[in-house]
Amino acid sequence: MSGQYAELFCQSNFSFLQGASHAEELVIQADALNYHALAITDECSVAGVVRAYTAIKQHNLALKLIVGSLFKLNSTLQVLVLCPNRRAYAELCRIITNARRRAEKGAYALSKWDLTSINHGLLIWLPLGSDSGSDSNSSADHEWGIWLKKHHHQRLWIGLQNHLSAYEKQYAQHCLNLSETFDIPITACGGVLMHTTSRLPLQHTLTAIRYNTTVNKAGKHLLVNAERSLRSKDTLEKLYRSQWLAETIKIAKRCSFQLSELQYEYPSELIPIGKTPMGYLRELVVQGIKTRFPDGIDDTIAAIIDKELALIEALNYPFFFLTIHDIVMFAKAQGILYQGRGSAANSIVCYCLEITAVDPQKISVLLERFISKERNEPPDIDVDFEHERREEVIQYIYQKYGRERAALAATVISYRFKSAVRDVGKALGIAETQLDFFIKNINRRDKTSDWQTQIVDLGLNPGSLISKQFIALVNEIISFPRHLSQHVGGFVISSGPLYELVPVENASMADRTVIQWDKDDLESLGLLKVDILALGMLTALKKCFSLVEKFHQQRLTIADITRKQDDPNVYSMLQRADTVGVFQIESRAQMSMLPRLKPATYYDLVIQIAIVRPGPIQGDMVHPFLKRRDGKEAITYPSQAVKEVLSRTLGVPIFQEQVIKLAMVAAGFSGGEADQLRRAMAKWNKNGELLKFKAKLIDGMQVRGYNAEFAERIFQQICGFGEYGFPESHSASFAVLAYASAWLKYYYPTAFYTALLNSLPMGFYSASQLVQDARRHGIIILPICINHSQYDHIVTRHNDKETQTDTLAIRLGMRLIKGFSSKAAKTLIRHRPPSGFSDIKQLKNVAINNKDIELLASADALKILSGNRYSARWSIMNTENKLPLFAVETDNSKQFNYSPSEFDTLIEDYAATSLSLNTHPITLLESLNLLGRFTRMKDLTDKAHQSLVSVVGVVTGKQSPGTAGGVTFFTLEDDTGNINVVVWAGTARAQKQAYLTAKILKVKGILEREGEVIHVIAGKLIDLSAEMDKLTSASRDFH
Amino acid sequence: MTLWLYLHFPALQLDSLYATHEQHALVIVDGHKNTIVQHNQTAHKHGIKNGMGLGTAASLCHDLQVHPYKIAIEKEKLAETAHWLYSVTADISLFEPNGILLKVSNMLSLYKNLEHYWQTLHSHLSLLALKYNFATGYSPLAARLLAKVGVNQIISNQENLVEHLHQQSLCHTELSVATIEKLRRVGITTISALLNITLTDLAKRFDLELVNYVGRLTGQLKHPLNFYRPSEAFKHRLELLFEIDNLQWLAKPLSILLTKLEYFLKKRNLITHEITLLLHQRDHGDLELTIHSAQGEYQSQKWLTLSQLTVESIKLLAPVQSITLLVKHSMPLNPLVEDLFSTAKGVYSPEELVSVLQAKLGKQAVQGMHLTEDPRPERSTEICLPLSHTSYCQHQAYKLRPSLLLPRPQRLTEQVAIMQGPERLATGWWDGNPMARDYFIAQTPNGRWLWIYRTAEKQWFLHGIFS
Repeated sequence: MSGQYAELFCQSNFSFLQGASHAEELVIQADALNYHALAITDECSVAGVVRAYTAIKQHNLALKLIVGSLFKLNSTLQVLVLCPNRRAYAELCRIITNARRRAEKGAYALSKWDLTSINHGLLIWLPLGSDSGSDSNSSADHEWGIWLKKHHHQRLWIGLQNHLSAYEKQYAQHCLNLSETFDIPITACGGVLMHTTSRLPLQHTLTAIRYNTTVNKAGKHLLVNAERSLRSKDTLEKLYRSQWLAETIKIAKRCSFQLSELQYEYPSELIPIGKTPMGYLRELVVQGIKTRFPDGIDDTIAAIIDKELALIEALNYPFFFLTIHDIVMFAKAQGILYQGRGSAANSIVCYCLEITAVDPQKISVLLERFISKERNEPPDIDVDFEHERREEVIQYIYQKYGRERAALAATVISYRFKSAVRDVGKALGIAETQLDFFIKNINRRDKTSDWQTQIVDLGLNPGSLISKQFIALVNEIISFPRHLSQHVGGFVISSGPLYELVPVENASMADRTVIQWDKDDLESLGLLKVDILALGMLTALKKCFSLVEKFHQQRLTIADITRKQDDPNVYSMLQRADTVGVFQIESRAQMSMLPRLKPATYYDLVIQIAIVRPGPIQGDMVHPFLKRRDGKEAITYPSQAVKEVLSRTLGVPIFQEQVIKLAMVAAGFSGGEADQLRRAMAKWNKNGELLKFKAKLIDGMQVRGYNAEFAERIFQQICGFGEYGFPESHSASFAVLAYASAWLKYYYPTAFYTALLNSLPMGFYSASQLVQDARRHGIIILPICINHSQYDHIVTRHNDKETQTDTLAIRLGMRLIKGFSSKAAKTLIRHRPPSGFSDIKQLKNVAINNKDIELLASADALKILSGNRYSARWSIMNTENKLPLFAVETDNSKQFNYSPSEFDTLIEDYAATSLSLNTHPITLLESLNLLGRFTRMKDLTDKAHQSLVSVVGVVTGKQSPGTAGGVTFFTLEDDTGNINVVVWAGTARAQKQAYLTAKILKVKGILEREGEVIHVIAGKLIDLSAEMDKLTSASRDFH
Repeated sequence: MTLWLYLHFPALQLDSLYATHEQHALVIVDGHKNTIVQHNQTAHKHGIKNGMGLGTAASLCHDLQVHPYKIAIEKEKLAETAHWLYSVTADISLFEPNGILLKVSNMLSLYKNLEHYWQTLHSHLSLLALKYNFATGYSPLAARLLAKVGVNQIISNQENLVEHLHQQSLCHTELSVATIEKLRRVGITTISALLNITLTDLAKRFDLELVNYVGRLTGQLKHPLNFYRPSEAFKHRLELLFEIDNLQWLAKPLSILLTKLEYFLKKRNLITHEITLLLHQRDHGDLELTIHSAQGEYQSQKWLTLSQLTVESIKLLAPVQSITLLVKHSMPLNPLVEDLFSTAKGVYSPEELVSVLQAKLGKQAVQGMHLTEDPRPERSTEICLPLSHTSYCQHQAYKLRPSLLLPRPQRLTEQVAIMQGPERLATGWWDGNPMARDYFIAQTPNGRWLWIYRTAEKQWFLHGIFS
């Protein structure tokens, strides 16, 4: 065909459950079919256009992209709006925003006014026609014709579709009539939902999911053929008159708007009048130098600062730094602890702007990691705030810039394996219980057999048609977007109304709005976002600093601690893996690595944090690193260039940045290509995008003289890194917090544990585990008491009766009581007499309800008043006293004398507060001789390496990291501490019942010692949970 | 005081499955809580317990058979069981879904003594092959509690019974979880501790539920009961352990039902002329078979033979998951004597007309037809039971379709002029019968209007003729 064609009506899979192709597939196919242009017109959305734009750039396609959207006003009017220019685009964004903001999340409500207000966009009207045989439709079309013509006598077309359905001829005639009656030109359009006809089954499946039915019952909702795909120009020429096809080109040529025109304009109010952004930034840096470097700076530092500032200027990023500076200054003024991280954060400029607290002199090695021109990535700064106070920062942003100018980035929630199995299975009519069974039993981490094989093992008949369809459709639907959600904290702030840049819609959270693009889209367009994240550890540190100030009269900041230089006492604690509560390195996997890695400096911690990640572990980088570190393996480099990249990690790539850099120096990737590689890594599970780089990487390395084996290994490492690769820039910031928390744990443990307990939920451990760890460190923990406790846990002076010394202790607070509100606690404390309550009746007169008093009784907080919680509850429950007449009378009902056993107490403690300061279950069980022979945790140190031991404990942790090759880590807690048990897959399989269900477990196994860290390698697992039942007739969990 | 006997059936649904062997681990799962509520011996050997999550159970045993818990099955089974017991004992009260209470005192005058009564009951019940626990007590709730904990004792000694009762934990009672928890939290966990408190003291602290319960348990308060009355109709349902798609295998389970029927009829001295068999098909409606016997019959063997004849000619739409046997009338029906043409036409209601036609021509000869939503012409209409589909499928009705669709498309052999089209149909992948055709409306030189299509291979077929 000689003529040209532009497809003006095409929906991607961002028209959720309608479009059956990715935007990328659509543009590639349209280009292959030699289309002049393709409009992506998702329904009331531009969420898919950036994907199309990026794909066109990546694949260097000649295809022109038109931005547009489909709108349904009601059941009788549908129009497409296309953007000829930037103003039309702003208009479109405004309309989408208005329509979306009127409706709840995921829906939209267009008004007539929206359509009449279009002054720049091109309208293509899609008449209903009379194919459904009703006259009411054609009269509706007639009315809309009058209305549309009245408001848009220009820039209006009739979009004629031909899908080879039964009444095409009549429909075309109908459109021709409308065209003549109203003098509206006709253009052809395809109503495309698929890039190729083979997507029809998937489209049918999506439709069935949308109508919550099965494909074979979806009947009238299903397309009857695959004509709503991108069709060849030859085919189109047969279906449409040539002037209709020519019209598409006329329209397309009017659409000159390109997404690259979008310029992000930072809010101008950040800059004092009369100053330039760069000038103001320089000014702030000079001020910062005075505070950060009171003794002045040397030439090297000065040179680095100059270089950084020059780069910021060249790349035109000063606003970005100023915006973040403004936000952190707010936090600082409010006393909210924060810390920046990310590639750009580790710069001296950021240190001077007080965005970070990492003294760059200490981490000079990181400075090369600043944003660079050639790498073509946008600057990356995430700022973490105290998790309990992040909302204040968010509100500050909304208040400062207004809701029109600030919104959160979206996160696209896509089909993943489980949701795909569930939805596709339902659409094909597979029973839900069977789908549940599949989902529960398929182990996606099983490397030996893929899910398709496993599902056959689980009873899906591999030969049957439905199984083949099921497997194919699940594979196809995975990674299809399902809905938009809000990003954890990525803000987009602009100088003008945001809705002229990108549509804004409602999020599920009240008063939150999200834009229609996610972070990749923003990156693709070079738009910057500011990440406002929440971090529990910052809350804990902040609380700890206040306690240290109160009880030790010492004012601390994170920077103060890091400035003290590496403290051997702190590192020796870390090397013993005594890290419960320490940021990032408290998990079981981290703990088991600590004695091997033996961190002794700040940079060791940076490595420690990044190395115990799925990326390096799957890429098999841990063992080579350890060997080289211990001097058991020579450190060699294939070239000087590689040495420069890898020398700081002994030749083993550990950080994501190193892998990217390797691709550049060793395989000759350009900055742009390296950036693509970085993104492909982030989502490499998706469409095998990473494999596209394989040939280029390996060839590139071989051309540069690296041997094939080395090249292959690097590629494998990249694959292993996948989405789990950890950037050094983030690790560096985390290491600061890890060190600060470890330092506090070592020097001010009482304050540290109190702060952690008051910041829960966060981190890895429960209150119970933290309290036990604290007690093992010799800290006195006092129970919750009606007359001594506050709502929060507090540090208090305590006179130890045995030693007659005054020490600091932790008094547990009422926040630990499940279901007890902070409001009740405050009321109670406000009304508490200075000498405390003297009896329960007095307590009942305080304005808190019976339920709350009962909760206090259950937590044994009334012990001081009534002996035990059972009798306390008995007297609280009497409703008679509530009546005013009886109020003065004494309680004459029979006193109830139940004296709880230790086991009762234990159960109650766990039920009310999830922890017990009383007898440990293991002590109890042992006193009744129910456990047989075993060794306690504290006695394990006396046992020899490789000796046979039996241990018993409450199962408090069970982790099977995907990286540990079938190993499960059990944490058993006995009355002296935590025991680490390693269970191999084979052992687990042979003793499934105990492995899966035991709450109290006895393990016979081999003791392994590595430095001071002890593991028990399980041989036999014995489930002793049933022994608990012997303690009571009531079968209750104590968890 | 009245003595009561309670029978508790802990695995009623499991027991009512058609299970002759225990090869497979089998569990009944409560879909809401996703926990195991019943399991068989084989499952038990794998370490599966009631209350366990399905996920855990599935990982303990890979070829686990899972059936969803259906309270309706248990209720039905319970009613059947009560019916069964009705021949040996009189006052039966149902405690749905899985308990039966019997009033013993009244029966003792019929039987020699308690032991004899129990023996009769026990041997009668054992024919049903159900698992059950039992106990006696001097109040319905006491008997129920003791049965549920499984004391399995038939005694009438009041002291012993009270002693047993006192030992029981509150968690087996009918009290709400919240009340049990509330009691536990003041240290009351057993019946004896509970009965130790005066009702006045309890009433000050607890709601009426508890006071009522204690009163009924001790017999101080009357426990209102509804007693079972047998119905005259016979209806039994049998859940099959395996789905059956070959009707040859239906004989065995069917004979179980027919034996029950025989017992039912024999007891009442009845015969029936017609039995109805409902085959419950997976994802399809029930298939209803009516089997006649001109002279009337009660023997299971005879009915089995008759059924097999009927069953042989049946085609299943989907595997059968369970079967129900129904007998609506145990009296002979009056045959229809009127002549089709003797009475004035048009006075029949549609239902009457259908039944008359069926009587004259045989059931198979009278069928209905309805439109489906399937876009494929061959499947756009479906034969159905007469008058069973009255809904009008609007969507299909709009399409221009020929009134005569050939049962099988024929090669187009004559020259025709295409008048309209194409209408492309390319769909139907989901059931293995995909099609890709372009349909046209064409006219022959002699003026007939045809519905023809072209395949992807450019072959032409005639598919229908317009009237």
